[in-house]
Amino acid sequence: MIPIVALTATAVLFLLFLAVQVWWQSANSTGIEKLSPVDLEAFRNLTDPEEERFLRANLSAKEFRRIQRTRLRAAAMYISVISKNAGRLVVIGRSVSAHPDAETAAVGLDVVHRALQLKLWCSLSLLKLNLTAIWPTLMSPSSRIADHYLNVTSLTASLPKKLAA
Amino acid sequence: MIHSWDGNFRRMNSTSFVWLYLWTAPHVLLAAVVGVMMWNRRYRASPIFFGYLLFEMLQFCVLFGMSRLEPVPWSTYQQMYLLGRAGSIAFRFAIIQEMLEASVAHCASLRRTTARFLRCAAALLAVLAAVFIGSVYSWSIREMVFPVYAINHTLDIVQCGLLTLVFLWHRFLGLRMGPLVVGIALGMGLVAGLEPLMDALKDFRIMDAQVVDLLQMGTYHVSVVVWLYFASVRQQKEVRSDSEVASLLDARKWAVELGRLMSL
Repeated sequence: MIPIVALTATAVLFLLFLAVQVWWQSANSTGIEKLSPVDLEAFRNLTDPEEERFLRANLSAKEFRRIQRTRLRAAAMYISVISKNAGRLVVIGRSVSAHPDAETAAVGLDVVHRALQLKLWCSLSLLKLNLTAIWPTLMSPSSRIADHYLNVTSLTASLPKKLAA
Repeated sequence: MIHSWDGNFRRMNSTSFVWLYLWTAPHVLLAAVVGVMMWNRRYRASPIFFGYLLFEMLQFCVLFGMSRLEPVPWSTYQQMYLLGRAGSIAFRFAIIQEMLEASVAHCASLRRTTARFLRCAAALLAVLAAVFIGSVYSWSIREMVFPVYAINHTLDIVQCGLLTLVFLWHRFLGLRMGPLVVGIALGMGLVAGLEPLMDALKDFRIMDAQVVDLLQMGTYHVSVVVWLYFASVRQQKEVRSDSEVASLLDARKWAVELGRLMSL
């Protein structure tokens, strides 16, 4: 009887998961959401190696670990917002990629490509930040994600002119 | 195609109208799915799934023909069935890859990364599924009617795991899957999710084997109806109205806002 119970539980869980996902896919519209503002300067400051060196030199090891963990948590929150924005930029890019004008559609595809990469980088960065939070003295976070984000948003900013044309 | 091949098929198909219906009707409906996909040109977006439909129809024609010809020995039928089954499984894995890569189709580097990720995930899931099936049947290994079922169950569970990944991948990217992709995943998930359970019901003699066969064929029938429905659902246009274009124009405002934040 145990095998049947195990297989039934697996099948029921999987089918429930499928039902929820299909509902989610059909319930969520393709509407374009606005980007949440991100203070990239503050994010850069949180991930600045110079700032980290300064703190390391002027604080005790225990104090540095505590402060650095707080800074990393804040940086992780910024990355989460950037990641959400990247998802929205993917939706925008996909919408534009269906534009009848080939040049505009190509820019839309480029936005999708870069935003997808940004989304993946955000995930990897979040993983790295969480690891860094465990050993704040051993690893340092990177601020390169801010450059990638600026890159995609400025490309997206070039879209309206093309769409309006 | 799902139907019993444990030696009872000749007896069943001569007596049971329901059995015959459940064997033939899904394949007639598959032809309808092919027709709808050709009509709305969706075969371009899902060529592997389209190929799978044609393969299933061909497989059905061969097996149905063989079952009607008396001189065809049972072993030959069995071999053809296994060959078809292996082909179907291979196609289903290819379809999952197609669904997973659909969101990054235009970007070669991301597509390669996705393919690598899929291979790694499939290998990991295969190990986990093999352990799961092994532990389920370890209670009574003799109950397993045919050892090939163990591989089949494992592959079914791997398919379920990969379909889960397809949905999670789209959730992660915040992308809405196309209606046909949702339908394909749902139909495949129904079959792959219920098959190990139904085979176990047969193996452990909880239910009559013929009833379970009918249930399996019914599940496949439902999944084909699901494909037909989702293939005929009209896909929403990406940019639909002036209001959406206006939303896109807002992107400029966001960028200006971003520039202002940068200059602070």
